[in-house]
Amino acid sequence: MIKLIHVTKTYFLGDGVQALRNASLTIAPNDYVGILGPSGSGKSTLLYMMGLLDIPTEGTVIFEGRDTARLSDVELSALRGKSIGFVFQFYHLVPHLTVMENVELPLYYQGLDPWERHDRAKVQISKVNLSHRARHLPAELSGGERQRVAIARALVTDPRLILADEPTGNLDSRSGAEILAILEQLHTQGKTVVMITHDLSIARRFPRVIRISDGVLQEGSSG
Amino acid sequence: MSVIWILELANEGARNLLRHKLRSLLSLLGIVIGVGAVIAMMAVGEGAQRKVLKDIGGLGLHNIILDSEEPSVANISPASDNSRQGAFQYGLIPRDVDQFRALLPSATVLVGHLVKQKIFYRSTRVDAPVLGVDPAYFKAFPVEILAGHLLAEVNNRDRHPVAVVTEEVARTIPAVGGVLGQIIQIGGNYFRVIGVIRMPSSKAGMVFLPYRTARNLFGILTIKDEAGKEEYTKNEIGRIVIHLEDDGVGIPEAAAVVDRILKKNHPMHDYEMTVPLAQLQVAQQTRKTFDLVLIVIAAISLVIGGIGIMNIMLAIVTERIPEIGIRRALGASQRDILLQFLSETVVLSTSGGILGCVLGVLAVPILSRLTEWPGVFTPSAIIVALVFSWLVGVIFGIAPAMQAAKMHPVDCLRYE
Repeated sequence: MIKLIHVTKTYFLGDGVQALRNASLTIAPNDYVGILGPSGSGKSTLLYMMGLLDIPTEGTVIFEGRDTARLSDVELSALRGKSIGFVFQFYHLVPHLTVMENVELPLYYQGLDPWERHDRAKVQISKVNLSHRARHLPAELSGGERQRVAIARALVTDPRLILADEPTGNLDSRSGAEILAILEQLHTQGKTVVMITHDLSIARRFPRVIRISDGVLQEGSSG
Repeated sequence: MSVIWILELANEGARNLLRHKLRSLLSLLGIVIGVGAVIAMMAVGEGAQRKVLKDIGGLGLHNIILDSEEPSVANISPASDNSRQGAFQYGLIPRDVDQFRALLPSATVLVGHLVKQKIFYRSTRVDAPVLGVDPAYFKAFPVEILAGHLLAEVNNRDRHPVAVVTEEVARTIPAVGGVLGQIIQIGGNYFRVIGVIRMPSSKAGMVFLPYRTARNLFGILTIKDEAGKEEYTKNEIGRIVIHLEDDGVGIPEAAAVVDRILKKNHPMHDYEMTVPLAQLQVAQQTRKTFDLVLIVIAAISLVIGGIGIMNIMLAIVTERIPEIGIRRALGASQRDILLQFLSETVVLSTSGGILGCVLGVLAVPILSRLTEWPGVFTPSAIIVALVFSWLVGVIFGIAPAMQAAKMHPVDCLRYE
């Protein structure tokens, strides 16, 4: 699915900070992976790298067999829109768009007609049990509801890879459990799911855990 | 690139702008005022131009018009022998006419006799200049006969006491059933009105008599009675019209000949020369200058308007950095982001253009009333204004939109 080969990412803020150091990693289709690390360990950078939002300073990112360094912005964007679904800690919904419009948004960038977007978004919203909220703005929803909207938005394009960046970090334990249940279900449906967390108890639920600290990866079991 | 896609972009742009109505409105004020001013000025300028052209055209573009003019006292040379007979003589003289005829054989030289007398209809005073003319005079000017007929050759030959009046004069004569056939009194003599005409050249109104009638009845002496002191002035010819048939070609040359003769014969410059064709050229030149000034004003106001819009768009881009990150993560390319912000700017500037057009259209009746020029809208002015306001949106929207598009998605997502 996705392969990182000797990837290093350096941020040039004053003295260069290495967010990733010589990281190599392979995610196979239908993998269910937790990435565990404290804040500032470079785990978000790793996720953005896998999500084709960031470009490595050194090394290669292979996405479904294609070297991402050789792809144009339009190709990368299309790949991102089609193959990857993002779920963020702070939901990252567009505040002035309704739930329906937020869920429709990725389909817009795939060039779908308005009615087709609407139909597909409607189905996806009902799957996360928010049909009654479709016309509401994100600010009118609870944290758990917002994250469910974000998941609906991530899934509306039927992506092969789900990247979740601490999706439960801002939720109470009940809402968090709901979100985790949805992700687990996606895995059983055949999706590839990668989730970031700093919470060991959550990481334990994943069959495969990658630890990261100071930008260095370390493969290991959750045990 | 479908119609739906463009409409969606425009719709989204409009929605975003409507979320901050006051801010959007203020930012496009520059464009609104600029476009409004230019639309209004173009309409009034066009109206003024048409009025001037009509006035000049009424004078006849094939004519050179010469009028006698009483010189100011300062111009009279003491050596002048004009005062010999006790009357001060000024103005155009038969020698002028003879020389014009000799040097401009292809031209028709017409003579008018200016009568400085008061006009009455019964006890109503009518205020209009009286000109004795050869019947051929009306061939040199565009004339529309409203009632009756023009002066005929026989009226002139037999010195008939008849008059043709313009519609402006006819309107001031309170005759029941129209002025035609009525008797008017000019300087103690009676004249029958045989025709009412419309002349684009004389807005003030005029009364025409046969030349020989006027000359015979009133002579060339005018007595001015000022402060108990009688003063005689003598004017042989009130007006000369030189009419050239051939499409105005040769008018400048003819005008040069006329000018030379007059300068020689009239060192006191007791005449006034009008060349409508030259006036037309001046008017057209003036219009070109006016248009140029207008273009400069339009350009300045559009640039100012554009800067206003760019300023607000830069603020909007900064405000929406997180949104840019989200959209990028959901599959928006740099081009998508660019188009999103560009469409917003174009919607903004185009609405400014539309509002400006409305403002301009509303301002024209007011300006027309103030200037007394009719306002004439040219549809092209409105189309040009809209196209340019649209262009301003594109030109001044590019920089903020590029800034938005070039932002790194990760930085946007991390932006607080």
